[in-house]
Amino acid sequence: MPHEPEPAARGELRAAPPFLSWAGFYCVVAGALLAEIVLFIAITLAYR
Amino acid sequence: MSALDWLVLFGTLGVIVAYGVWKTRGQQDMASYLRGGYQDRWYTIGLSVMATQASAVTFLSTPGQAYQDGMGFLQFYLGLPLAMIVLSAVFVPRYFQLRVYTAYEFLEGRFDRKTRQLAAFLFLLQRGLSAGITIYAPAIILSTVLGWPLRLTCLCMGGVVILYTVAGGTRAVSQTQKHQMVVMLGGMVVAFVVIVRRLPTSVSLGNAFHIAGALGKLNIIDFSLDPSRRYTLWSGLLGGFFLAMAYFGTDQSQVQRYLAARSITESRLGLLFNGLLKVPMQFLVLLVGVMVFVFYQFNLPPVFFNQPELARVYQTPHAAHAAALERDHVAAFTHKRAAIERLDDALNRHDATSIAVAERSVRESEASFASIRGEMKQVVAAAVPHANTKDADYVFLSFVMRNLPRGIVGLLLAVIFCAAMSAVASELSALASTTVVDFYRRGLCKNASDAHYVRAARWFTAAWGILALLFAIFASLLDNLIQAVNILGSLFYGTVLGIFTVAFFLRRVQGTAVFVAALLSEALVIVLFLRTNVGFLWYNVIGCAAVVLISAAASAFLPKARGPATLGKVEGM
Repeated sequence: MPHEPEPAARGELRAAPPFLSWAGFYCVVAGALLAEIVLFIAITLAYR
Repeated sequence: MSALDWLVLFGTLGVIVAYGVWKTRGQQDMASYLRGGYQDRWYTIGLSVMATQASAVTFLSTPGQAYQDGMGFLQFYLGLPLAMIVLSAVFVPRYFQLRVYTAYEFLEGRFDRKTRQLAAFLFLLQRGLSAGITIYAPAIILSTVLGWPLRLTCLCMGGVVILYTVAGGTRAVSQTQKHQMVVMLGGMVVAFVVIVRRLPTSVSLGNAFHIAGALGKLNIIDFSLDPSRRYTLWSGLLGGFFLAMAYFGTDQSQVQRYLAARSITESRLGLLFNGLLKVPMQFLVLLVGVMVFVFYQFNLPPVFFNQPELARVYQTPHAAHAAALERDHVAAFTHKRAAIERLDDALNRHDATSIAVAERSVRESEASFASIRGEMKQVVAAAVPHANTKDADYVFLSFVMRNLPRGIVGLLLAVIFCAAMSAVASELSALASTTVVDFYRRGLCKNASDAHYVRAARWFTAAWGILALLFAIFASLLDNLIQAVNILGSLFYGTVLGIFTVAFFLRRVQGTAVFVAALLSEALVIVLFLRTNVGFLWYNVIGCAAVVLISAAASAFLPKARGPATLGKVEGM
């Protein structure tokens, strides 16, 4: 087909994110979720 | 509504749509029309993904749900951030590696054409029907509360969306969604601040939380292991994780959003941005509902929030009973308000004994107050045939129209319209992409020019839009069908996620095994739905697990294909 997009280059697939590694970003998201759950449990227990 | 509200409403919507159309003018090839030309940054992807999920019902019904049942619904979203991590690490690189237009294209390279088209067909069936509901559900509430004609409301909302989605394709959708999401988030923050400021001056935010908590509205986390309970910590984390994996990883209306990124890094960051922001956003929306509840502890609420339905009761022989209940409602409110004021006073004095006594009194008066509301719902049901007695959907809009200042009303209506338009636009764009790429170009018209497929995509977008609009306009005639459509979505996601899970993680399993497993698993989920009362979030786990287990077992018995299964090339392009 004309103008069919090319598959992504290997380099692009392995590109690092800014500031942190991917593992670092995943830890930030998982850590934020954990903090939110702790906060929600605290609210549930404090205001029941 | 005041002139200022109309100005804010139409000004906000008009500017966003005009900017989206202007920004995406002159697109000619498929890569720009169906994948947005690979130009979007991570924040556009993140906001666009959030806007696609946030339909108008999110802003109309969710505060009402918190008003009525508390904040337990928040647990539904707890699996979402974890799903964003897995999608970012596993799904996105694979989709980008193959530069697919739709998620289902990937399945043909991995399995075969029939598995690809089964998944694409399930998507078209489910999303095609629900697009009409996405227009109809908010239109019925808006038209009831604002007194606008229902069909005109559907036409205005749907018509504008069809126009800009046909004109600008997926990039117009992303560009408009970015601004629509900013309006939605900003609008809810403004609503929260205004509601808190409208509470009596003696009521601090801490006291407001205490009052809400005493009446069971801050019960966010439920540790119950009972599978029939819809929202618990476990169903939210596990069932919500599987649902989010299925929705964000395999539903084309979402996949198309992050495939529009300018690079894989931007796409992955956009999904993680959604993972960070989604739970706090839902917390805010539910908290607005709880604050509306606290507001109505000091100000008389309607006995029944769907006021036009209540007005119909007064045209029937049940009018005297309804009037008596309204008088009881006012008396019960006066009694309850006195108890709430004693609690507020005790809280301000930090007197633990008085607080405990006042809490008991508040709970007792709330129980008698709620029983009058329950009785009024029974009167409405008896007086008006086919009446909708679930008035929680009307709580927030009714509150906005009665209690918020000029300008803010227009802004919050713009929030609701933005949410409806953004969700519908994503659906139409994804339906058109899947129809063109997975069926039209794959089987019906294989070797046409790029311009031909862009034209076809525009026509399919318009056709799906008109179909959705017709469904919305005539939906009131099809009550049972609407209920069926709402249930339909939750029945298919587990199976489709199972197909993709096998594709990514079980490399030995081939096309026929997974195809057979998908059909059997779907049958299993439907039997569970018809014969048991298992909460719907668990269908995603069960459907996915069944596809994985059955396809792994079946692949041991079915003859092997000649070549090894690969994660590679997409065929028939």
